[in-house]
Amino acid sequence: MSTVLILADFAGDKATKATVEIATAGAVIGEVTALVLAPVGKGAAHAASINQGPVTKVLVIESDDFTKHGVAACADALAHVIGQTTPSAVLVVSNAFGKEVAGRVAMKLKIGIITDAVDIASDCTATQLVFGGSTTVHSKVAEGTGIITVRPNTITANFAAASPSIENITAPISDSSKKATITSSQPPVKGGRPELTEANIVVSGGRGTNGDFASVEAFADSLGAAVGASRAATDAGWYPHSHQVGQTGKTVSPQLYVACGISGAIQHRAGMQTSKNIVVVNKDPEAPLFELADFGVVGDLFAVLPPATEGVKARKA
Amino acid sequence: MAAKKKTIDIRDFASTGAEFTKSWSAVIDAAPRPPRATGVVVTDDGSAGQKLVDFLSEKKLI
Repeated sequence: MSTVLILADFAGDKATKATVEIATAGAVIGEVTALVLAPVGKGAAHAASINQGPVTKVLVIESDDFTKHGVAACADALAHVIGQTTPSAVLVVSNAFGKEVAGRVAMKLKIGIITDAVDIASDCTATQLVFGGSTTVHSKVAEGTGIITVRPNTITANFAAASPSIENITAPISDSSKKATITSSQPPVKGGRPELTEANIVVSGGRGTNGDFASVEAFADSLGAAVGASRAATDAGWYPHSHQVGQTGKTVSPQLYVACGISGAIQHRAGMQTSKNIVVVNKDPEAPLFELADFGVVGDLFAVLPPATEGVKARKA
Repeated sequence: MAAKKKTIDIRDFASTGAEFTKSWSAVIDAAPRPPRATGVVVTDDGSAGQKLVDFLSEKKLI
């Protein structure tokens, strides 16, 4: 049976939902081995948090170089483990960290890389959505063990409980990977809402909010959703740029995307048109975003959202 | 429009001395995504909020 190596992704000491997603994707190809790169003393805790998804084995490497030298050291370790275990494929989460590690590993080992896959078949054919989600591409790695980065929230994770075997190993970190040192780092200030790119539901506000995001936030909170914004809203300073959805912001692909007071410029659509369900609330019946809507409301968001928020709360109560 | 009068020199790839290297990944096929099915659009008459909740509930999103 072929094996698939995944690079586990963590938020703090916990494996993320994206880790379970790539494990689920990998299980289609073969048995999944998860690689955990942890600072000294944290390996056991990190490995123990991989308790969901089809993972049969966890390899743990503890080294303070991972926090001190970042992606370069992590790429060294991953490349070493690929050399040792010769998996059929390597899957990494498609975030900034994962993509950089994957790129470095591909160059080190001279193997092919595919980024931003949204699905993977049993023969390692990856599906990608390009040009802002308007075109579907199937690609395959032609050279060596393929390394594929998988976009979060595109694969339905299998959350079945797992009790993988855990093995501690070591990997050499080359001196050239220690040339840059991270002197300090600070986690982003987090609100009570889920991360935009990983959320199942995103509620976004645009120019139509006129700077008042209270209704948008209240509706998002009733659904347990992340809050996004259009460029018009972030440029006006109504909402932080880190929440911008679109070509120059974040690309999201949630189960449900609710656009409130967003007309739907092509740059915004590029960031959200792969969402499974799209709801549009806009006063302007001519807004181009209605073309994408599964459910559209022509009306003032300040009149529509509050009763909807109450309705959702009532339904959940 | 001087630029438009420039002659275009077409060369054989082999004559440039460059070589094709084997690509490490290959595209199998690419196709435009099918257009999204047209959805329902309602005009707010005071009950749109509730209709929105009904839609979400029907799709099992809440």
